Amino acid sequence: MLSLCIRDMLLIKNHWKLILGYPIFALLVFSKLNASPYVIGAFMIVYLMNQYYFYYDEKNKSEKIFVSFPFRRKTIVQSRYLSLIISCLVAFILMAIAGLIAINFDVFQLQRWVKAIDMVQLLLMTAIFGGLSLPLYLRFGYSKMRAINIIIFFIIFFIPSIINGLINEVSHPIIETLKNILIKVSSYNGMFMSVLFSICILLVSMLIASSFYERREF
Amino acid sequence: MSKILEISNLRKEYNKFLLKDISFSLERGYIMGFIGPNGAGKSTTIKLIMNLINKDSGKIKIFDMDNEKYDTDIKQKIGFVYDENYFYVDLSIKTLHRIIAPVYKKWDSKKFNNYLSDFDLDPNKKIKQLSKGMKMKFSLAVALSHDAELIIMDEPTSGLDPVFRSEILEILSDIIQDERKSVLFSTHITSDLERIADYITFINDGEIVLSCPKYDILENYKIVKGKKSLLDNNIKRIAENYRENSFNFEALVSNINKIDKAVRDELTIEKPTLDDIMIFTARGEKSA
Amino acid sequence: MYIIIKNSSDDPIYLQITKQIKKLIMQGELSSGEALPSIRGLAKELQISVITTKRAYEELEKEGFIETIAGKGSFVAMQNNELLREKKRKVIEEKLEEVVAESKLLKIELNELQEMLKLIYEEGYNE
Repeated sequence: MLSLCIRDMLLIKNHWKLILGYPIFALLVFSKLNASPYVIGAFMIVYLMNQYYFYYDEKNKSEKIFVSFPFRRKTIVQSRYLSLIISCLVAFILMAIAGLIAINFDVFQLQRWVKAIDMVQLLLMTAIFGGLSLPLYLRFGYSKMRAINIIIFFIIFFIPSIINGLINEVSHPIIETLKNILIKVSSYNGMFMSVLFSICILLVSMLIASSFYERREF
Repeated sequence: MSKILEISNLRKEYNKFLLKDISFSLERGYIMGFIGPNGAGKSTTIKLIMNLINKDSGKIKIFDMDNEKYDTDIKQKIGFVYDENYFYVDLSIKTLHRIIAPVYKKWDSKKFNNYLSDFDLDPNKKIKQLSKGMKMKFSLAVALSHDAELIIMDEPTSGLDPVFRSEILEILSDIIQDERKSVLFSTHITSDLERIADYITFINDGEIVLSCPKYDILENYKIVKGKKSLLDNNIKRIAENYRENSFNFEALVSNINKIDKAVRDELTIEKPTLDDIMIFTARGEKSA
Repeated sequence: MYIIIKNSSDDPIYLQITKQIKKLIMQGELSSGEALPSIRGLAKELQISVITTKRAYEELEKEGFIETIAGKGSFVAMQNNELLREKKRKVIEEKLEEVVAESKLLKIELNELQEMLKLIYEEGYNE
């Protein structure tokens, strides 16, 4: 299974320069938004990396090869989710490094460096995105799902900013409840629960995706 | 020796195409040519063997194991070559080697590199820089570098020139020097199989027409030709297939002795090629 | 071992092989106990099916020309010299029967035939 993840890494090797450029772009653009630039910048990188994995498979029709290799279909599905987590970590590290450099040279007017809650938020967003889009990709393939996945991406992308905006500017009982929930989540306990919740989403999604992929025909 | 591949009553319905009651088997140490016109069901059968698509009913046993239940164990010992290249075209051979090697337990890097140099493949070249023939050779190198016992090839030589094709055939007959190994080779280019195939399985319109040693076909079947007036019900009955035009007829006969000697003397009798068999079966009148 | 397959021949391929190997043995080109190529090796050399070479070897074994030892391969059988001479004589006898039949048709007498035979035989000898 690791071999499959390595494959994913090797495939986007050629795009490394582009991928490295995004954190900088993200910090520049998103530091003005109402959400942590680290989180939404990293999420964008995760989305792009994931797109590339599926794009290459579709372009080369290479799924036919991997299903002919001695891999269980289940394993192939698992590797997709593992690649997603790995890209999550990689994206976060890239944003952190970019942030460190930016703060050092005092550019982009960043208010702070990365915090643990950023990672948790990223993980949750990734889990929701992956949880929804991976089963769709695995069932229907890249080209059919591209449009839907862009929509899913944008929705999730803007959620942090929308929520933060609502909390800061609107006064409403529901918003108050939301604010209280978020404060609870910021505690260590809360973060731990979030991570657990994210993992659960991914596991359930993986089960669904596996059952799709078992019967898929090539 | 037990059979390396055993297919029984395989059935698959697919869009508008139906594969029905497919049964044949292959023993260790032999090359089987799987021939038939385009659209006959060759690729579908191979996809079913490789578990790329799901069968509606029937049984496939490879190395004496059910191909769905023991899918990954079986695939460790299968080398496959498909009609097109499906490896990532933007990656180099070297990179692909890194991805593929850990997949097979018995991967032999040395052997793979030997094949690369035998086939004149530069490991630093990207797949997209290779010609069609070289892409095929690359696939073959991969298929042969993990001690596979069954080599399955789905139309690997279509689009390749005769020189190339004869190189591939030589490589295949090399593989068979090891009596444990077998090759299943699907093609519509029958001349490739005229010499080296041991068994021929002939599929047409989703059904198996015949499956037997090649010499049985080439030595027992005959093409008889003659004036139309000689085409009687007897010939029509015993012939596998026949064709007629305004002046004469041609028939494919499995046992020439069933035709009366008197009639036989007036006929031209020829040895068929595999092409003849394919054409007759696909286009002739079906005998009762 | 020199074997040629003719696609145009009426004989099935396995028969062509059998005949040629028989000839080599009778001519002494292949001596008793000599190893023959493996059925797979021969199939590869001649670029034909291994089933065909297998059948050829089986025929040769049936007629007593070769022996196959499991695990070791096929060898020219120890030819009983008497039997071998018998086989050789039979080949010539068959040809002579043809010649005699033809001579009778053309009304060529026995002594004329014998003279012709002597001439042709010695001609070959002196070359």
